Amino acid sequence: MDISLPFDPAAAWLAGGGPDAAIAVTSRVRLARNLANHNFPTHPDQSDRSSVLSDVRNAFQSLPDGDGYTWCEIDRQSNLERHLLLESHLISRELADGTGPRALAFNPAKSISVMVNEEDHLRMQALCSGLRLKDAFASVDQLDNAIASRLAFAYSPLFGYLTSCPTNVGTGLRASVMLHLPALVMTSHIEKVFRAIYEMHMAVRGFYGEGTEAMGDFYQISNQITCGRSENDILADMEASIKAIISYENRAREELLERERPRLEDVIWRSWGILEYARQITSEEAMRHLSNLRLGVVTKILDSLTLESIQRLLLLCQPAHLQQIEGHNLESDERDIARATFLRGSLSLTR
Amino acid sequence: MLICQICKKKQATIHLTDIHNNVKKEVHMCEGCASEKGFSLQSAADIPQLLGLASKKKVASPQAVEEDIVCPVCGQRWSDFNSRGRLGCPNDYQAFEPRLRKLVESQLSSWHPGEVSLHSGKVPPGAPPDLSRQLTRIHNLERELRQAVEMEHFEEAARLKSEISRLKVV
Repeated sequence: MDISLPFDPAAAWLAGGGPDAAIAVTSRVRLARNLANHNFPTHPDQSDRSSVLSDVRNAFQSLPDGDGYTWCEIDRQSNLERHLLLESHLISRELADGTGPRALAFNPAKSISVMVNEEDHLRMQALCSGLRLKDAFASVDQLDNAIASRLAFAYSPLFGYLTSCPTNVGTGLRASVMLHLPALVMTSHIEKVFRAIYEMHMAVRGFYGEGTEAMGDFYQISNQITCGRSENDILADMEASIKAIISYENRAREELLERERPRLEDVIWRSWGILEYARQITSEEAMRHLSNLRLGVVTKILDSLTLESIQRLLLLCQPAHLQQIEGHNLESDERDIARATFLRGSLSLTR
Repeated sequence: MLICQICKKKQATIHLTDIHNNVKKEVHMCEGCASEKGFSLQSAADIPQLLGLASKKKVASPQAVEEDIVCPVCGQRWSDFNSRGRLGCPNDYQAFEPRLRKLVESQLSSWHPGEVSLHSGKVPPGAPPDLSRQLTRIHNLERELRQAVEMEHFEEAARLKSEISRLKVV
């Protein structure tokens, strides 16, 4: 069941597709759960962590074989391996950079992953491409039922599922959709959208979740309140709001195509030029230009690339993945050179 | 004109403000009383201590200091939660119930004013049923039953009636 990394980064969500995939890159639903009668992982006394880890491991081992979960003890992985998992959206920065006994379990398609001993004992998430919150919830809900029949979760009829931070209490459900909103940025409407998002009690998070930065016009939108309403109500509310944002972005794209096509084409082709000819490029700059290429693909200004290939390049040009491709550790400036070489090679192949 | 809170005679020309645990305290003094308490504009006096002295005499407010509570299971204090933002164990929700309830309700009311139930989602297997939800459901069904009877939808009414009696047994 244990893995030795490095592993193939191919995950089902990378293939793209699903409703509104031109804007909604991925949908994710995570459930926070804790075992009854154990301190939360955030308690200063860390002695419960090992027994929680082995209880959860046993529960996963007793799942039907067909589920095929891989178990990976994070504290035994190298720094590079932990960051590969982070860049693949399988674990959070907190779990990657944390201390003490902690683990990850994931299914073969890497569409479901479970962090053990992050802020809560269990953080189970399902990730899929496009706007498919209900599908994501259905798969994580099924795993939740399977684990709940093997382990007793901390729960109170008053508060619901009990979590280390009261902002997750109740359903323990956090739904996030990664949206690509370049046209709203180009037309300077993005601030207005952010304000509306906060008014709808949702939050904008960065590329790797809470406390990380947004990059390349990719924004992760998630619900702020996890209690008081059922899972299905929270998801239905989220989906309605996300659809409204998607229609704003679509309108902005149409406007750009109708009224400012030369400007739009210029931005996209300049990005292509930089990615095809640059000799050193930072991760942030690469993401900015790949984001423009993504817009080029969905507006059919570029026809030699697919959404899937862009998504793959976005992942592979991240620091840890790049070092895995090169086969050894690289300093920051060496990475910038390797990244430029890798992107140049990949784009020239598509011509 | 503000009067010195210590001698209660002279005009207060020195004004101190201290904010502790979101509770704001103010003290107004004349120069004489201030220097007697060891405070001058140059020497950084212990302002909370000074305020403490003053509060004994007058400013004592009922909500000034929140009493600390300890969870008997994990030893976490309410003050630990206030500073770290994380709880220690599931039992904290019982140990700090009124305070956490207030906190969670305030998050909720900003979102859905008038929402009654803190939790109305999934329940793990074997967990006790949420009674408040059960009662709300019965209440709603009884209203539907009255409407069905008024509309003479007797088949529907019979179904609702058996549903209600089933829930009442639970």
